[in-house]
Amino acid sequence: MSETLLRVKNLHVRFEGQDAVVHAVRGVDFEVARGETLGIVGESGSGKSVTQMAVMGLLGPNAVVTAEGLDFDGHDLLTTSASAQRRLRGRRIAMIFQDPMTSLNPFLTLGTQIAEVLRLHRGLRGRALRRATIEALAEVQIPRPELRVEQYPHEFSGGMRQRAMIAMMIAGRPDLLIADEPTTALDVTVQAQILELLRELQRERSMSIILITHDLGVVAGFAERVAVMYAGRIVEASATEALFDAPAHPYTRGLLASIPRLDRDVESLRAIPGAPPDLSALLRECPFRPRCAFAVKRCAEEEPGLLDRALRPGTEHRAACWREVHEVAALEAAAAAAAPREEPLR
Amino acid sequence: MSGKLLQVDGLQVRFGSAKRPLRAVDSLSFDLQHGESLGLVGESGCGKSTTARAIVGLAKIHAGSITLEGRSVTTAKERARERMPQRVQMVFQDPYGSLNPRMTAFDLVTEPLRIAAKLAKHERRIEATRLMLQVGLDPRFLNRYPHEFSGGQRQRIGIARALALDPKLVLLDEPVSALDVSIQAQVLNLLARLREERGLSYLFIAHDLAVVRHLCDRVAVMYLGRIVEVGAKRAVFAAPRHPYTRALLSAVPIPDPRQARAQRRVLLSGDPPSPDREPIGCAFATRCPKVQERCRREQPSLDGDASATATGSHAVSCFYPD
Repeated sequence: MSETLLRVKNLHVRFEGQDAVVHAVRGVDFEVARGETLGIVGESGSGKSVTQMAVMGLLGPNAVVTAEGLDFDGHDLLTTSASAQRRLRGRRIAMIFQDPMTSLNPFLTLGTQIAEVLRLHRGLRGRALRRATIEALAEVQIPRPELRVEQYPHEFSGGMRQRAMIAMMIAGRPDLLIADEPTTALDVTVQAQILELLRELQRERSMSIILITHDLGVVAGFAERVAVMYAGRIVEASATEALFDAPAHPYTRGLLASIPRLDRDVESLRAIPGAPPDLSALLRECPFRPRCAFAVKRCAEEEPGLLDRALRPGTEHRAACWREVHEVAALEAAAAAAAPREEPLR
Repeated sequence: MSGKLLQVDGLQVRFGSAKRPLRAVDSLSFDLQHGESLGLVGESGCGKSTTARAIVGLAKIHAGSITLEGRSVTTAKERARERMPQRVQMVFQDPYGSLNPRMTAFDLVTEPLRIAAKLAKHERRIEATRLMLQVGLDPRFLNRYPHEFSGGQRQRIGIARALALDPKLVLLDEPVSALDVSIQAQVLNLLARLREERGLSYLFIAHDLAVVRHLCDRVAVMYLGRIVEVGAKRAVFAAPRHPYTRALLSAVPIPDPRQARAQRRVLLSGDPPSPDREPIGCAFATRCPKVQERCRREQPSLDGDASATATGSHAVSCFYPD
C-alpha cells in the first residue's frame, strides 16, 4: 500500500457528565493511505462518528480524548499548536455530515459561504475569488452555478444542498475528506448521484475518504477497506471483498445475515438478539458476548483485541474474536440447519 | 381468505390553496386481497404516506373512493358506521413520536380496547399480557413508560397497540426505517410471523426496496402522487418495465462488492418536479432517460394486469415500457 496519510493509535474518548461517564471509544487503531477509501460501518452508538469527530477536533469540552498517536501526514494532531491545528483541520482534513443544514448558514447565500472557505484557505480575493466560487459549484455538477451562488440554502433541494456542502468542504482542496453518513437522508436515486460525484472527485484529486455509514451496501460499492465498529471498538478490519467473502467476527456475520436482500431471496432474516451493551461501565468481557451464539468461557473473562484472521498470508484481515472463522462458520451452519429461531423475550 | 379486502379508486389528496393546490396523491387506484401484503414504494414526497393517512382518515380526501370489503369508507361518517378502526389499524415510522410519553405500555396497548371495545380493566389486563407475549415483549414491562424501552421494543408496543382490536388490515408506514439493521430484522421477522398467525393483510409503505421484497407479495411503485408500476413482487423486481422503477432498482446499493461493481446504474439527473405544478404529460418526463415527444404532451395511464405474476405483463404507466 502507498503512503499513510492518517494514523490513529489507541484512541479513547469518554464523555463525562455530572453523574455518569460514557466510554464511547475504547481503544481504536486505524490507518488511511493517500487516495484510499476507508469505510467505517456500525450501528448507532458504536462510536463511529465520535472517532472521526475526535480526529477533526470537533468534540465539546465534556469529551476527554486520549491517544497514543494521532498523526496526519507527519503532524501530531495531539501536540501541535492551535493555529497549526486550524491549518490542518478544515483545510487539509474536511468533514461532511448527514444533514447539510447543520453545516450551512441559512442566512447567507451559498456563494458567500463557499467564498469564505476560498478566502481563508486559498487566499483568493476579488474577481478570482468570484470565479473560483462559481467553479466550485460547477465542479459538484450544480446546474447554472452563476445563478446558484446568489441563492440561499432553502432554495436548494436536499440533494443539491448536499452537493453545495461538498463544494464548500472541498474548496480548500483537502487531502482527507471525512464523510459522516453523507447520503443517509437522501433518496436512493439521489444517493447514487452523490456517491458517483464523490468517486469522481476522489479520482481527480487523489483525495482520501473516510466514509462512515450504517449501510453495508454503500460500503460494498464504495470502500476499498472496511472497519466494523461495535461498542466503541473496531471489531473487524479488512479489505472490502475479504470482509464480505468471509466475515470473521460473529457481529459482522450477524449483520450480513440480518439484512433483507434485493438481489436474492432470504427465507428468514437472522436477527441478532438483544441490544448493544451499556458503555457507562468499564467492560472486561467481549462486548458482543451477551448477543453471541458462539461465546466460550474465555469471552467472558477477557476482551479480545484485533487478531489476525487472514485466510491468505500477506493480506490484512483482523477480527476481535477469540474463535477461529471456520469454527464459527461450522457452528452457524449447524444452527441454521435446526429450526429458524424466534427472538427470545426481553 | 381470498377476495377483495380494500379497494382504492381514483384517490386524490390535495394540500395548500384551491388556487394552487399541491397534488400529493393524484388519481391513485389499487386493491388489496384478504391476507395479501402490498408494498407501496417510492421516494420522499411521492405521496405514499399520504395515501395511507387518507385511507384511515388522517388526510382529507379531495376526490375518489375507498371501499372496505365492498362497503364505502370514504367519509368520516362511513368510517364510523363500518367500525373501521376495529378492522384497519396503522403503525407509524417513529416509535419515539407516535407513543405518548406519559402513558405506560399497559395504557398504550389497551387504549383501543378501552375506547372501542369498552373492556373493563381486569379484562384489559389479560388482553395486554396476551398482546405483549405476541409481540415478544415481557409482560412484566407493562408498567413501564416509552422512554424505558429501546427503539425496537417501542416499535413492538406500537404493533401490539395496532393489533389490540384484532384488525384485518394493518397499514405499516416505514415501520423499521428508524431502527438499526440488527433490530430491524427482529421487527421484520415479527411482522412476518404475526401476518401468518393472524391472517393479516399489510399495506407496507417503505422506501427500502429490499425490505419490501422480503415482506410483500405485490409491489406498487409511486412517483409524484401516482402509481407508475404495479405487479407481483417477483415480476416487478425481476423485470421492471417503467424507466423510473429501473433507475430506482439500479440505485439500491447491494451488500456484495463484486455485484456492486458489476451493477449497471441508471443515473437520473435532477430531482422530481414540484407537485404544485399543473401536470402536463408524464410526470417522469423531466428525468426520464428514454423520454420521447409524446411523453411531454400526454399522460400515460396504468395499463396491464396489476396482479399479474408472470414477468413482463404486469401493469405499467408508460408509453414505451421495456
